[in-house]
Amino acid sequence: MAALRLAPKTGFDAVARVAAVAHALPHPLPVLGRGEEPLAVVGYSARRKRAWVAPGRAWRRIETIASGFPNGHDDQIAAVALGQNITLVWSKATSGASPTANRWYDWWPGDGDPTIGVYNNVASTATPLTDATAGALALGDNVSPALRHMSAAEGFNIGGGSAGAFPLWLFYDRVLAYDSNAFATSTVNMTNTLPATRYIAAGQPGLQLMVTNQLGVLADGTVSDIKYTSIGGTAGRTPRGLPFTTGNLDATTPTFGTDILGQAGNTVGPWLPLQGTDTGAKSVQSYTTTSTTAGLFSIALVKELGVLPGFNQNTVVPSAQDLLRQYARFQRVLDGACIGVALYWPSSNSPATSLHVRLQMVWK
Amino acid sequence: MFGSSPTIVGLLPKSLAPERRRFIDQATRSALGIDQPLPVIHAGRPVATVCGLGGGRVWVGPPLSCAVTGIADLQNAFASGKVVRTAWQKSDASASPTSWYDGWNLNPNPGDYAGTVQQSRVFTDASTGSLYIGGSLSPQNRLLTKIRHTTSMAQPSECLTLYDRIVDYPGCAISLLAQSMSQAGGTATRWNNTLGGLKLLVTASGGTGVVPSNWTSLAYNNQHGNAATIPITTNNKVITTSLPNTSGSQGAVSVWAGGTGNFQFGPFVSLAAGDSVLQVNSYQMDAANTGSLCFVVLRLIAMIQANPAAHAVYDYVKLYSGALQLIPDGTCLSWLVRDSTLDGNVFGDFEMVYN
Repeated sequence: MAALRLAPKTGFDAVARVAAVAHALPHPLPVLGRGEEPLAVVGYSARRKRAWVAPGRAWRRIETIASGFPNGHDDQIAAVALGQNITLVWSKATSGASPTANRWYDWWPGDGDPTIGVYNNVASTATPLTDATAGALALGDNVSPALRHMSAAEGFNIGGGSAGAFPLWLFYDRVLAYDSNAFATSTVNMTNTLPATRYIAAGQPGLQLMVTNQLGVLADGTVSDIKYTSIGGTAGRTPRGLPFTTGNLDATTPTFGTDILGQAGNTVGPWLPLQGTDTGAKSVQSYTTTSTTAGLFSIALVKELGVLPGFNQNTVVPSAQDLLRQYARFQRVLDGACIGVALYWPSSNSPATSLHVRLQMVWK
Repeated sequence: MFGSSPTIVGLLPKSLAPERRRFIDQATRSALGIDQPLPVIHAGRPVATVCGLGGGRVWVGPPLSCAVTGIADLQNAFASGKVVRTAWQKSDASASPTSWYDGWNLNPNPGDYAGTVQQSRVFTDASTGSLYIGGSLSPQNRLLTKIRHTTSMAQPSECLTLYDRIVDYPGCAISLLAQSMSQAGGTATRWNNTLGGLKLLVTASGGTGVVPSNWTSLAYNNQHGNAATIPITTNNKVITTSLPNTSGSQGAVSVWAGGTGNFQFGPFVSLAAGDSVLQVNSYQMDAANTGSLCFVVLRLIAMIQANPAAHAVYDYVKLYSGALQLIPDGTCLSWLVRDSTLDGNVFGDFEMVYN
């Protein structure tokens, strides 16, 4: 049993008794004090074959017993009934500017609510991002050990716009970014002092590479090579297909979100295809471009959280997705997630002047 | 099996009535060998939780404080008639139909902007202007299970946002001088924990003139009670020109909806990264103007979009259950709307169940 110093009157006996039978616990349980406050949390490590004891403060609420959603819909309803949910709103302007058809745009630098997303001015340096980063949706406090999931999403295109000008919404967690990368024909090595703070430590797959126009790219710049380290720790990996033949970064300062590097016709995108059987990237080591044009671009490691299809402006009710029953989309959102939105536009028709998303999360 | 007494692990709830203790004792026997938490129900209420641990041991803990524990409870609530339905209609002749505006002050049963200027007001379902929610039902849980929204006239589309009005600050001057709020009227009594989720809305409650004023600061306390200020950016600080006077037929326009074409953001204020808001402390602008503003601290409940050809309905039980929402006692329901053209009336209904 791990050490936990409790005086007898504060419940040491109770903790000891629970720890003695911890091998039979189906999941961690709280041990309560006389005021029904959690004194400790007791669980059992099957691998180490020993009980473990954590401080009671780790048990945020007694209702998090059986943390997570093993009973699916019922657990979600129970969590909402306890007020364990939050609604986030994302509202951004398009100014009615027409997008390029079949192109992905990252709305990280777009103005609105939340405010403009920040880029690190220190070039080519790994920068971990959280929900406290300007541009991220306000996620609220950490809920661990409870698990937070996306349960519903709606998208609204409001104000003007042409028929067919509807986006595909994509939500992502911006985990690690390498910003302010200049175009350079010789290899530029990244500074990797700080690692990603989510997914990586647990070895979870799924972090993708997203390359975006950051600011003032004055001519097409072709990213000819990127070297990354895979989630498995193999360095020197290269995304497939680079350099893309056409459809690279736009030759304009971004005003319509910012364009995401992809192949013409969007046969590639929004993520760079990883090498071989890699299931995720852990960090970026270096990059090279084919020209030294002015401008900056960003490389971000992102975790895709969900996709919301859009519908025509002014014709039908908005996009609405129940992300609970469609379990493939009942995506977990980690504490500190830096949630951003990317959009795919199938048409160059002028869009609605404003875009809004309501995103609901529930935890238990 | 029921004749044996298990070893109790954990603590029994305090001050138990003998009959209630007997129920729990029986439940501990039933829980032997069942390795899942089980609620103990007495007189229709959860009184404890038990969980078999093996080896003749049973853990006993306090009850889950949740009367709605799953879909069966919602269905039973329907079957038991524990349903509140509210149909509502508001006159809507807003002169800025392409903006977001607050339906709080619309007829019938309009809410007001009375009281001491720049002083907090705390709202409940008993406040004039609140939509009916069925009164206090605690300790039962009340959940929003359906919402419908319909527009009138030739409204291409209309986005309605249902919210809980928690605190507001009426009569706020548009002034070059720094303005301070008073919290003497009270602070948030719902959703006032550190978990966040409260948004800030600023409306032109008293009508403004034609000179735009820009925010130079807006200070508030976030969900942790810490002082914070909004980030001032190029676009999101403009109070637009020619905002309408409000009356019983014109909603109060959200003045945050900035952008180069106005009203493209919002309706809510862009707070500092990671923040929601508990109270507003002060603000300042770069020019004076006529009229007044109202700062509203609210919790967003639902968004729904409709047009005359397609009445929008969300069923939060069967079809859209991921968007289910709790409606706690005291919720002061009101709504915001974003029109595309001039409207005539806004109406709809919603349904709640409790258990």
